[in-house]
Amino acid sequence: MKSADAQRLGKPARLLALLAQAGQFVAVIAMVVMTVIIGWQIFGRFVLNDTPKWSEQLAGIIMVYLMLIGGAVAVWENRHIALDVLLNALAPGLQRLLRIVIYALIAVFGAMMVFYGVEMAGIVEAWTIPTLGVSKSFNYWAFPVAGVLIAVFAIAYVVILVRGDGSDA
Amino acid sequence: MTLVVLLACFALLLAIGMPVAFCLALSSLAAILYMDLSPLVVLQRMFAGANVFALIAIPFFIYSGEIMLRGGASDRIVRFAQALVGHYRGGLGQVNVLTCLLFGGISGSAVAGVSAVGGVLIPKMKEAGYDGDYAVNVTVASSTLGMVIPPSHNMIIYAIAAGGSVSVGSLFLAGIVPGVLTAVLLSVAAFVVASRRGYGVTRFGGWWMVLRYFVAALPGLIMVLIIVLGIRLGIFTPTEASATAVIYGLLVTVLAYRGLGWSDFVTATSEAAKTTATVLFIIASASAFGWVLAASDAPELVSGLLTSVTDNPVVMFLMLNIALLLLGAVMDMAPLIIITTPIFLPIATDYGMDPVQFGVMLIMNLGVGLLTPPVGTALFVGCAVGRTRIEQIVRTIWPFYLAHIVAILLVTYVPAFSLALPDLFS
Repeated sequence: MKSADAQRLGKPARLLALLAQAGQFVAVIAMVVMTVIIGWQIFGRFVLNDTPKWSEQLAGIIMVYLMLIGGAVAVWENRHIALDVLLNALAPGLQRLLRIVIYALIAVFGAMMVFYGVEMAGIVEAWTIPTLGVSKSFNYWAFPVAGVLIAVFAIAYVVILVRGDGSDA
Repeated sequence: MTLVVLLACFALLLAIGMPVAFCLALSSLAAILYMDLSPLVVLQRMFAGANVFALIAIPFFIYSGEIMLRGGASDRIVRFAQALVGHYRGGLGQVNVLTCLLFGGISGSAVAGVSAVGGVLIPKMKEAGYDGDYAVNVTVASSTLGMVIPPSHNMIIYAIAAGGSVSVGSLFLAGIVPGVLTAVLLSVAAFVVASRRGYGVTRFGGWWMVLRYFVAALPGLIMVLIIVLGIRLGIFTPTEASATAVIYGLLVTVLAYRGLGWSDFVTATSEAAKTTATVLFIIASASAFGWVLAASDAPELVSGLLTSVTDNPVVMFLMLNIALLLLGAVMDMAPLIIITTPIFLPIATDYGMDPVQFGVMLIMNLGVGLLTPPVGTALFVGCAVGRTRIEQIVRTIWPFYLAHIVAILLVTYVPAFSLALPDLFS
């Protein structure tokens, strides 16, 4: 997010930036933990002669958390790749309108992730992941968490764009 | 009809500038609603698409590339390349191609290659009197070499998309010769353009210097060897090999190169986490999209259409190449691998192509997509690094496109380029 945008939002923007930083922190920790887990698996297999059964399972779930939460932060930082040649060629007013549509749709998708993510976690609540001994819902909690972030970040953009005069949208 | 909803939504969203990951996810959502299924299915497919054991190799290959990049491996490779080929016509252009070939193997990412190699070499080339467009052309065109030179995370995505019938070890070996072939053709293009424009050469420093810089660059290059042989000889799974690459990268950059400080390490981890998240997010959305495509009989439709045109493999493979080049121009690599593999791979094998050969061909084609507008990530980054405008680049890049196309055609019609090496080791 550009600093001019952030100023327009004032205090809420600082909170959102903090939220994005927290998300990025989680992603970085996930990256390191994954390395340690698979490193341990290699150590176990070659040195202890005993391959841990939980390692790939756990690393795989952590990777989903990394993907979703990191993906949400990327919404805030505008890092998702888009085809914007057409968009940039349009008149400023129309451009701003389309950007509002884009972020509103992203917010809808975020909300969908929250609602159906919770539902999905609820459905599989009773099952356990055998190698880890935790509820299978652990798999899906990343969806509502990331969904909240995505929705909040996208709504912030909508607010900025609606409030802005369109000159720099 | 589901197919129409899916593709129309996708095209519309893409055209208005929606990020590709959300184009895929939202159009899948629309199609799934149209099919009267719960939106839950989208999340389920996204989870299933990302929670694949073999995918765990991707964050690690990205991470090890970042560590090598920030820990001093790329500078050493540039110096070695300069000592070896700097004295040929268009010397720095040749250095650029060789550096991309060697460094691309380590990083596996075209965009990382452009910013790492281009960041060092483009200013250097301009200083030495090369035109900006030439410097950017060479860098950008060579940056995709890393996608076929192992370890390449795109090959892992292909192995998964192919449904586990293709071994990552064979794919990794199969990419080496086509990668070198493309590099040779690119350096011919660099030579011809440099001769016509009359670019100079740098002095050859002697074989002693080549050897010295080779030794300095060696620890970085050995990483590629460890991964390829480790997987091929069955010592590691691809996931374990990728994690080993991270640990090895840390050892080399911290202990041997002494180039990776604490802040570099934090930056490398942070950048790797960012790239991983966006790459995986798009893979997950593409899986949902691919699931809807499969449910709507798109594979049968496309293969029926293509097979009705011709029963000649030569023509069919040409059509597949053209389709992949066109798709690559408008979309990113990872989602295209996931979406097109289930549709095109059965056609290719029906016409007698080996799945391993198809994988190499697929990635080479989609690699060119990274160099072509409107969605040409490597091209955009190259222009940003070289401070040139895209229009300027597109006007003079064609000799390098030509080199890529010739390489693709050779790999398509001469199976030995891709298959000889895996056969040798089997």
